Amino acid sequence: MDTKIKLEQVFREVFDDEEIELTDEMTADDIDAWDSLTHVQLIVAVEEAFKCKFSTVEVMKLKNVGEFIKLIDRKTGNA
Amino acid sequence: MLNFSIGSLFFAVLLFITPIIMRIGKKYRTGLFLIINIAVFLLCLKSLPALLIGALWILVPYFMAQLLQRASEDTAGALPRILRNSFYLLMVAVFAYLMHYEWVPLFKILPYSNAVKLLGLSYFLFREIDFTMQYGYLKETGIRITLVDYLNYILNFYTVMAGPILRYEEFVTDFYDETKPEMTGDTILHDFHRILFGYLKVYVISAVLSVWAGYWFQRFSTGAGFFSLFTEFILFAFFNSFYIYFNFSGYCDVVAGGAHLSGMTLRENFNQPYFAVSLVEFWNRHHITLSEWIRDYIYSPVIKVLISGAFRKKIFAGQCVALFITFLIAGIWHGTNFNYVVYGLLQGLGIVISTLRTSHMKKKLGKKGFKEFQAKKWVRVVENCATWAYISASFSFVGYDVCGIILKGFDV
Repeated sequence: MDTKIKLEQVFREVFDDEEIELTDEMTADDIDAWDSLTHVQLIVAVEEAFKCKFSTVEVMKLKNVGEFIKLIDRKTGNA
Repeated sequence: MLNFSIGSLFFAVLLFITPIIMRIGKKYRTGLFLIINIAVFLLCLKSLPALLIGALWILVPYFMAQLLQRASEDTAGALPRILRNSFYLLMVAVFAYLMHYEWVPLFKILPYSNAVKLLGLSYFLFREIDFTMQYGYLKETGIRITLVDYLNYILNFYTVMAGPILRYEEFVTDFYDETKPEMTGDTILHDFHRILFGYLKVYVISAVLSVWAGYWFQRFSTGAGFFSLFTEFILFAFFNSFYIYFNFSGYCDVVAGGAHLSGMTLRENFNQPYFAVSLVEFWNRHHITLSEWIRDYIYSPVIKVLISGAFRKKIFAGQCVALFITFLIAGIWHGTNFNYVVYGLLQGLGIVISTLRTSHMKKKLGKKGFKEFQAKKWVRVVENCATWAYISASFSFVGYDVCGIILKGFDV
């Protein structure tokens, strides 16, 4: 499955909002419920969905959804 | 051993000479800055054993970062993670030993001499952890990593005493940034103003506040009667919290102005903290670089462990526990006696209460309703005063033995 579509499902589940549509430029500012708590929750959910692990630094450096997708692809060997 | 406070002659001389040296020898500024930093480090040592401990404390993380990176590239399985975690545990253990926390019974038995204490020990630790944690990322993104740059980052004499805590990436990028505009008369004047204003904050404003805080503390510690004790404590706590703000932000102004004259930009550490309307906001405005450091290197790993394990189904509770642990650790770090443990407990408790309240209010009023409620003027004033009062009360444990007085009051 396309990483973006799968990630979108994780986002919808974590933020409890079926209307979320991901774009590469999207940041935490674009989703109301996306704060420091839900960010870690999101990371943990993504780790489970994609069966991979992220380090503190990798998570820290993410600037937008596009970078997140790239990171997931790199981790899962999709890139 | 030399005195290296911002009021010392040594520091004042460096403050004015370094920019000149760095500009005249622009081509060799990396090396020149290293010589100055090493000279400061050596002159501030208390003993010969401290030199050995200091050298190990600074150099080991540099080489360990490379080893740990190699281990994670070459070895599969849990070994690299175990190695990494053991290394950080060892760092923290050695740090705690060198700090010599008074309330840890083990440290009373172990041999120790004050002569091994290093200037800026805890700020070394912050930067070393940042460097080792980020090493893989730094290599991947092609950020310049050399021993000389690492030493300049760790030993940077402007920030060695009390921050601000820069990140390695930030320091190196800024140090070698060639797109910076040339210094003009205006910017030089601006930097001098900042230094002067910083000294004014530390040696005039905060010095007066310190005398007042000390006076009311003295009366509080010898006084009697609930009402007078209460009033004396409030006056003491009020002056003391302002003293801390002016002293620390003044210091930051002096070093930021000085570093800027030498061509370096330090990140701002304060943003009018006493206008904060919640504890969370206060920590986003006060000692900002420390808050960000503890968010990245304490809060994030702790909450990740909690919500992928014991708090899987109780995420909000996990957040509260993680916040409490984070602020307790940050509090304990501030000083070696038991007053700082109480300070950490108070900060942790305050943050948890404030988070619970926000969550409760959001449920009751809805997200939009809560925002509107918070925007009201009287709410802001009340929340600002409450935040300020709580911060002042908890800051009273910083630098004064309030625990001792409370225990004496209860005749323990």
